[in-house]
Amino acid sequence: MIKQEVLTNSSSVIHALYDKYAGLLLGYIYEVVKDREIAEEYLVSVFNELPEHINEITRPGLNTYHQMQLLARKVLADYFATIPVCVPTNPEKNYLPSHPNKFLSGMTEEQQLIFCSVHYHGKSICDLAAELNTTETCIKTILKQAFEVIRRMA
Amino acid sequence: MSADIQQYINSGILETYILGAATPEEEQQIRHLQTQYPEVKYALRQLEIDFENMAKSMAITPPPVVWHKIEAEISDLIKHGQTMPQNFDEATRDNYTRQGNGQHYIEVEAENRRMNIHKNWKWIFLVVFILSKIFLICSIYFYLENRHSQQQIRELKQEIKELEKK
Repeated sequence: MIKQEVLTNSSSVIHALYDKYAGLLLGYIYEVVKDREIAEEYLVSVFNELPEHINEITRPGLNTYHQMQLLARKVLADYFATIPVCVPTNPEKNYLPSHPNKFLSGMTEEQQLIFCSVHYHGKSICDLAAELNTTETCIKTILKQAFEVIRRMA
Repeated sequence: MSADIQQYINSGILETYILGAATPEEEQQIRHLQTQYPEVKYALRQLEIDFENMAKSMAITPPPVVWHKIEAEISDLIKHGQTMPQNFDEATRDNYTRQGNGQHYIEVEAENRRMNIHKNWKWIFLVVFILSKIFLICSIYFYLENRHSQQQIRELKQEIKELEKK
């Protein structure tokens, strides 16, 4: 349970975090749930969870957005469980984000599939390797290549 | 830079961690290694920046109503925070500590409909039960005997009266 004084103090911190990161998180959540209203509800849930994790998230030396993104991923865990198995030969490529994205455009199809399955579908490396009939090492290598593309396109 | 650490960085484990898909063991290992090896720490910071850059390009500005909902929830927590359940901490423990003899107990008011008695009472109850049955049988026997005697007395009186008339 969060003490009242902590809540009162963290209220302004939460507002500052909201101003800086709510848009980034909503963009991510929207690409996961593909529905604006549901995405906004999940965003509210993420910020409602924030007071309990405020010290961890704002700890010096940690990237605040990364910590908040991990929190969003935890909040989305129940939604991830409803996402069906990845289909690599899916011609519609519905695993891709609905908004055009220069970072993903620079990736190969394989990199897109692996990156989106982990990032937007919440797949674990182990499950994804099993679904795609490959090794965890291979999945991690492809993720590394995907991040190299992201850096190059920045 | 040691070859092993470079190999570790190149394995893609850091990217897995950034995406939140690392196992708890991997997460612990990365947290440990970044304190030991500046190369790991630097690689992680760079990946976090890349990750945030990508998120910025896909940002969607939320409508004002979203913040109002969050603000209302926080205000509610501040207002009603005291009514939420508390953890059992040292302060709470003191309320349940018997002062003086050092024993710890929790006051519970409960109505117990059973009582504990010594095993020997079982034999005493058995003897009492058997005696009560003997007493009952005797009572019935003497009652019937008495009724029979009364009947005989009445008959004898009747006979005496008849003899006196004669």
